[in-house]
Amino acid sequence: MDITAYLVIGLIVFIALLIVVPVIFFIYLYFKDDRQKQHAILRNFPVLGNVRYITEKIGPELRQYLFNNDNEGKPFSRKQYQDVVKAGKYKERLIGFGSDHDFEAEGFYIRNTLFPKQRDELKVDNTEKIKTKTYKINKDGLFTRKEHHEEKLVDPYLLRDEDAVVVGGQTCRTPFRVKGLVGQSGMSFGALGENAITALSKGLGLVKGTWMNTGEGGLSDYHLAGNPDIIMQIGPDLFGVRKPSGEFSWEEFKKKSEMKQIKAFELKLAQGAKTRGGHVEGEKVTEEIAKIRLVEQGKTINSPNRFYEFDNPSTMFDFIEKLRDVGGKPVGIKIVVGDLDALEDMVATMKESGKGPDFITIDGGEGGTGATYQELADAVGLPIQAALPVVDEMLTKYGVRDRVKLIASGKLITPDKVAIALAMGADLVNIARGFMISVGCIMAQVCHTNQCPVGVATTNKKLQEGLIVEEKHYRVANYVISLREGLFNLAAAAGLDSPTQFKRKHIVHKDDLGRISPVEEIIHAAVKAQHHK
Amino acid sequence: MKVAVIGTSESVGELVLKKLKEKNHQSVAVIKDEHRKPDMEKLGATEVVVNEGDHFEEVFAACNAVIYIAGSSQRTGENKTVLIDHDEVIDSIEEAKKMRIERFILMSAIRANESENSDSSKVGEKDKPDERLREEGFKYTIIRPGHLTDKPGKGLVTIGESLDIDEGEISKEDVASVLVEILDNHDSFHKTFDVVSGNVPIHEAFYH
Repeated sequence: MDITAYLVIGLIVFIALLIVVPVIFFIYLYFKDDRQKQHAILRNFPVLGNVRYITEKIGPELRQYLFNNDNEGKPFSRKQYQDVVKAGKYKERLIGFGSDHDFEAEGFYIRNTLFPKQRDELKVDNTEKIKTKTYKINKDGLFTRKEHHEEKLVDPYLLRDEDAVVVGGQTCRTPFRVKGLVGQSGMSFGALGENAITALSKGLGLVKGTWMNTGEGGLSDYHLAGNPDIIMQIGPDLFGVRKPSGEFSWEEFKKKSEMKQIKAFELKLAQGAKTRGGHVEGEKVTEEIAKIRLVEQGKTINSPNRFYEFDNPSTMFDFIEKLRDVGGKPVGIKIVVGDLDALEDMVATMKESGKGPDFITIDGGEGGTGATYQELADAVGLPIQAALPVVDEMLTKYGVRDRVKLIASGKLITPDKVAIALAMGADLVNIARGFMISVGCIMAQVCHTNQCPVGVATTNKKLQEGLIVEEKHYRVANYVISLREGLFNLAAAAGLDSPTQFKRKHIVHKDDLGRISPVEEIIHAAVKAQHHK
Repeated sequence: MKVAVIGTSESVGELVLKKLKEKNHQSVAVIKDEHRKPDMEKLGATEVVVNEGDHFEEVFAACNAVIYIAGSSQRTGENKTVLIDHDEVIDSIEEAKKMRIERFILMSAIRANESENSDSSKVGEKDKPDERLREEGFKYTIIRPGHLTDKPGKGLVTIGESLDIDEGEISKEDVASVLVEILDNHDSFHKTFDVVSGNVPIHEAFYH
């Protein structure tokens, strides 16, 4: 046979394979689907039925990228997401040709004044410029965007010294003075990887006037990397301040409270995402995690639903007194507002005993980063816009409002949302997911799987290689500055020279029929609802 | 040296106050608005004077030098740098002369002398203060920076009597360093410099 014959045979075999192999594969699939007993649709429509599963699987991505409009999508719309990303990358919040906001929908609006404040009338401290890096676009083409990173000296938009928020001013040996109104909410090392925590720490340390809450997972070296002010959270599991037996360790607590970077402690009674104790699989309790949390390596942890140390307001306050006495630093509590009677009981005890926390962090029911149970995340606890004014009013009613600072959280990721929370009674605002986005989160919603594709909510070393600390920490810094600058913009529009002066009267609620009502309506409604309980 | 600093509402002026303090000079910040007083003190101004009109006398009485940063202010609008109020510059020149201050450093826009061969009347207005300084016999230096940026200072510049610097830029921090650096530099007297970011250290650039 000559070479042509070989080639012809080769070609025939090749074509046969091209047809025969897919046919065999198809028949295999057909019988596999037909014989399995799990899915009815595949038994009745073998092979074809798989289309359903494929589209269901890629549905979220399709919606996120193609079909949802800019204002749709939960927990954050594409618009909200982009606002945070742009603030981090470009330190830019300008838009053109009007807002995409849905003005027909109900929501809160800020009352502006006829005669706003001038820029140089604002009580802002811009004396220490901050060296950061922002992106600048060279050319924005259809397929490529050319941009470069450049160094920049920017205004920090801190509060003036006299406007600084002082936590524990009357009660502590070392009160916590903070010159900015936004900080990072509790996110544990373990829930977030070391690269994410380090980037956050460095960014927050760079801008100053803010804080980093450790979450209940204890204090790691990654939190300390950028030397930011730290609020150490203590959950019922007492991570980082426990004895091997599981009881509270005053010795460990004292050690922590002597650290210069730790400015305050927060007892976590509840958080928006889970109003009960957490659960950590034994395989995730590595040597490092075990050392930080002071637990046994490789052993599954089921956290208690509440502290063993106290079970009512007065025993809690005694515990707080002791913490403050030993540590000399402010002690707060983190709560989710649900039953107003229980809350009122606590506030009344504050008044009667003269004791109580230095700050109360109110997490809206919508709050929550990482992983949790659907039933708890979706339906337990009041959202922040209902909870915040109610707590503020109750503290005022009992005459103890001046003894305590309120920190609000729950999806308050842009300056307008922060300003509305301040007007509703918050003194400070915590942000978690906004910060996750600033270090690269793409809202893949897989925090609970340790498979975060951008290396934020994962301890997987390989995935974390995607997150470059040096680049991301500037985004964190820019995001904070951008929020603070935005707050001063809004204050000026409302005729205030500092965002610390936002009061209830500066905002108004508009319903979907265009009727407006003051914040007090929420309080009346909440009180009425409680009476009907 | 005690230096009156006029034009501290912008970053360059703020940075000048800081640099003066670093170099152990005394400074008097002249501001138009009471609100900015704490900021100026924090930036390192030895004294802060709120100036409501044309009364520079008290300020100047105790000073040996003036650094005047002409720039846009909120009153002129952010994009209208050409509309600097040259009357105000002239006023302070007059006052400085009365109080016998010899040293006057003016930061002016880079293309202030374009009017010689251009018919832009607005830019032309800016020439007046420059000429007045020459006529009145001050030990003056006029610094005309390139396009100002917010980048951190590098401490390196290129200077010239009339640079071709359409594309030239310089960080505000470097401009502030220049203004303070040349305070007692005799080689810079009676001269106008265009300054952009370059490769000569600032402390060397202004010596022959």
